[in-house]
Amino acid sequence: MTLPLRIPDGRQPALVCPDCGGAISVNTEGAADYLVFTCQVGHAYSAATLIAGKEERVEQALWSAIYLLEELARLLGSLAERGGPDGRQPSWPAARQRIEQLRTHAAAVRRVLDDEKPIDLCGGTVAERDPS
Amino acid sequence: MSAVLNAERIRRDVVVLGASAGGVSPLRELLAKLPADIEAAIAVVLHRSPVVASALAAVLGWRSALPTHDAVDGAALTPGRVFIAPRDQHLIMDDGILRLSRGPKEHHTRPAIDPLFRSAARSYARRVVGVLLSGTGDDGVSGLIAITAAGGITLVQDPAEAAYPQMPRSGILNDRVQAALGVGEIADTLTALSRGESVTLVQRPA
Repeated sequence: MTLPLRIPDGRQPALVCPDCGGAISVNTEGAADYLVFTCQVGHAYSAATLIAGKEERVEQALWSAIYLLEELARLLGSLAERGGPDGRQPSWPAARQRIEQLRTHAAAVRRVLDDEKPIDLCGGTVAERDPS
Repeated sequence: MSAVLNAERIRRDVVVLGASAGGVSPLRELLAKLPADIEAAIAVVLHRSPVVASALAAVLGWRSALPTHDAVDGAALTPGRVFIAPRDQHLIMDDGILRLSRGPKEHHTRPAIDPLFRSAARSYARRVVGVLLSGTGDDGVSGLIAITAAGGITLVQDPAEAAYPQMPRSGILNDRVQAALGVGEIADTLTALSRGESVTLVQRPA
């Protein structure tokens, strides 16, 4: 069985640990070649729990992007009230333009977050229990 | 169709139980059905919050004839007792001694089932019975594979009766466990295996 994400002559997949950012290596265990992903310090995952961790990281990264966009807008806004970084530019027109763009982009990322839909790890592959 | 567990009639007296979502009720039922004189040491990992102290041992030991406590680091692994992994600690067996560790999380969780199962396989090999109950995800599956490789016995809760069947189902798929059983049958099987008896199971269609 071919291991996923191995580079042709190397041993490491191009993956980092969702918990610590360290490089992850992949191996198989047992007769059914169960995939086990382990990072350098010992965080361990199956394919499914690794995917769950990566889904979480994607969401965190998008919220971080929103935070950073809004933070920079707030910083520029508060400096504009003081006349810019040097205090000599009343209303600081360059900042106003950039603040507007930052807020537009933050709203766009927020819409991306609304549209995001993590994978259903059982979807379509495993029959659910009869609810009766 | 039938299958025989423990045809070798080895005493299987180290029991490790793992569960996640939907695991409280089968664990309570299982522990309540084990006899007071069972000569097996029992260790349990149920996924739990690392930051909320709870009376989980008392909850799980409800109606059990066996003393059920949060495990303490350095305690002897004593037959006839149930050791529960405390919050935020992996529970590990180390040749007769229980160890607690803040080692790396596995499957985003600590305590995790895999470290307990792997350590039991390493210390006790063929004496181990590993059981995976209701839960989502795959924690415990790597541990079941290690127990199987060491000559132990692996069981899962019948996915049809588990509130969250993914974990038992992953055990069946990836470890090819010896049997998927109802919780009552698991208790009877563990009791028989601890005495070194063989167990004949009627296999249901998967």
